[in-house]
Amino acid sequence: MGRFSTRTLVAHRLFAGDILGNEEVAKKFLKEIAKGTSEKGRIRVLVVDDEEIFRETFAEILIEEGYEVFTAGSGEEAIELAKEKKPQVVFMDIKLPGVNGCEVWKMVKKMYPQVKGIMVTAYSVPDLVKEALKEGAITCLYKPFELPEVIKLLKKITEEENS
Amino acid sequence: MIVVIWQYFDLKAYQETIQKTLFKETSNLLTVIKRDTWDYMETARQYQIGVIFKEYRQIERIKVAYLLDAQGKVAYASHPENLSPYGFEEQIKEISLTGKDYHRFKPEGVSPFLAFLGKEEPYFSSLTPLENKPSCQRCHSSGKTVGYLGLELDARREAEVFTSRLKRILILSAPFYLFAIINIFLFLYINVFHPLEIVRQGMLKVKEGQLGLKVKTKSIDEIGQIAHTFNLMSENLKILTEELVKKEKMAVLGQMAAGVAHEVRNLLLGIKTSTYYLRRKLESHPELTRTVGDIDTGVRRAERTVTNVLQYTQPGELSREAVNINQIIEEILSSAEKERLFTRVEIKKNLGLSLPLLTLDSERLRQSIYNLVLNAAQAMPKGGQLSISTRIVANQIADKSKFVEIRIEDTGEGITEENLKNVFNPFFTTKAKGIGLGLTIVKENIEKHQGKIKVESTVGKGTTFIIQLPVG
Repeated sequence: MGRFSTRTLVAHRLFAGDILGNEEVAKKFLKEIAKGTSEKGRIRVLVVDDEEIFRETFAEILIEEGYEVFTAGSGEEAIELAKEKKPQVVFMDIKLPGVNGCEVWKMVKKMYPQVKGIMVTAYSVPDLVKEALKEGAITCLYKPFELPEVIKLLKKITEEENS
Repeated sequence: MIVVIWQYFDLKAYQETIQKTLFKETSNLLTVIKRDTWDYMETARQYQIGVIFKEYRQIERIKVAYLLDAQGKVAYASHPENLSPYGFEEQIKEISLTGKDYHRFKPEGVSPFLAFLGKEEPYFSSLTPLENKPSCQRCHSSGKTVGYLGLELDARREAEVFTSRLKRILILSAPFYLFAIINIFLFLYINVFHPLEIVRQGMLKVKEGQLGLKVKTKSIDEIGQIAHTFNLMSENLKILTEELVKKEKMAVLGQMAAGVAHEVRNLLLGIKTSTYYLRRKLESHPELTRTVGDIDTGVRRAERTVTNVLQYTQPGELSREAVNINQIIEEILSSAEKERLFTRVEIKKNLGLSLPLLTLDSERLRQSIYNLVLNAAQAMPKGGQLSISTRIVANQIADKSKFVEIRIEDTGEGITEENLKNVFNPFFTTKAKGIGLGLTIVKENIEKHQGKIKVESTVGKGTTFIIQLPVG
């Protein structure tokens, strides 16, 4: 698991919340933890990106949107996590330290043929994008993408999943 | 040249005349000697022959006169000291082969009169056979000939006349030859050597790095061709080198830009995600929402700069699709209106109805129009009007091809004539913000779509950018 898994991050935020004396924030996170452990029917999303700030804040937003989120900062971590958590949707940065995102996506897709993939990249790597799309990824987003649009996209995908 | 040929033939003709005269003279003398010889032979006064041959010594022109017997042995000779030491076998052989008299200039060669060139003195040699007539048979028993009569005539005088004439001609025409030589040299110098030297100097300069250098020569066609080819080569070399340097520069810049872009875009996404998160949390604090909006504006500007640099350094291929231009403009304007920069800008739209869909790279077109809209707003810091219009235009003059025209007009400060020439040049900017790539990329993008872009501006009144994109 990543250095900053959702859990550790939440703990970290709790701590930060205490220090700043922002109880509201702390309470909200406590509530989220409770929500995360109690509700089971949520869509599992795996976010793979080596950019920590984005990854963890994005995870936070997705949790608020009602998803169950796991995060990984490298390809190896992502594969381990995928084995354990059986994600239904994967956000995959193409450029990762070690194994590239396209390879990781192929492995995850092999494990769970039903999984939905959204590739993410900061600059044009046409060959890898093409390959990922050929291997069943739904689309490729170019950083820095617009958050509301991505949330809309995710909703659309998961609605298809549910129906 | 003509003069030289004329002089050569003139001399040759003169030489022939001398030869003919000599031949005639020799023949006449021989006839006389022959008659004398016959006389003494027929009257059986052979002893007189020796006497008469000695008398011939007194004739100045005679080098030697001699009488050979049937075997070719010398019987009598006027000047025994002048007799050929090699005998007369060759001459006799020739007579028996041809059946004619022997007449020959000696020494044999190009011209016997050019005596001053060789060591031998020129002379004319003749040999005639004496027939075995019935009257001879009293003493000479058999054979066709009883003997041979030979005469060698001195031609020194003729040679002297000939050479003096030659010398005179040469001396008289010397200035002319000199003049001709100088003329030829001058002609060669002006038309060949000098231009060649100019080309050579040009080559040296090109070697030293002055690519694109041109040489000017006034010369005959062939050399002119060389100079012309040299100019073409020099120019091409310059273009190729510049292209190469640009390519290399672009490769390095591209690599750098890609690295920076990757880093910056990742960070920007982090910031964007954070502001999005903040915005949701700050719903109850509208005064802070505006600040978050400013962060977003900054992020968007950084995003644009990175995209501009990346596109300038890595042009890439177009990914075309059917595009509704009006829709793109609407999207750009609705997003721009939210920015603080546009708060004092009044936007006026006049979008043409039923424009055809164009097959374009929508992202590039969006970026181009956005750059122009942003430019217009930046030109009006105190506010003003931004008009944007689209329409379909047909080419009236040529093939009546149709294109879509987009006009983006501001009422800003305008561009000076001097700057107007440079607006599309990379890294040219008059603004404190930006790096001067926006319009360069707009132009590149439009031209990649076989379109045209024009700019018109009046200082103090405003600027208009006109884009024309071909239909179909």
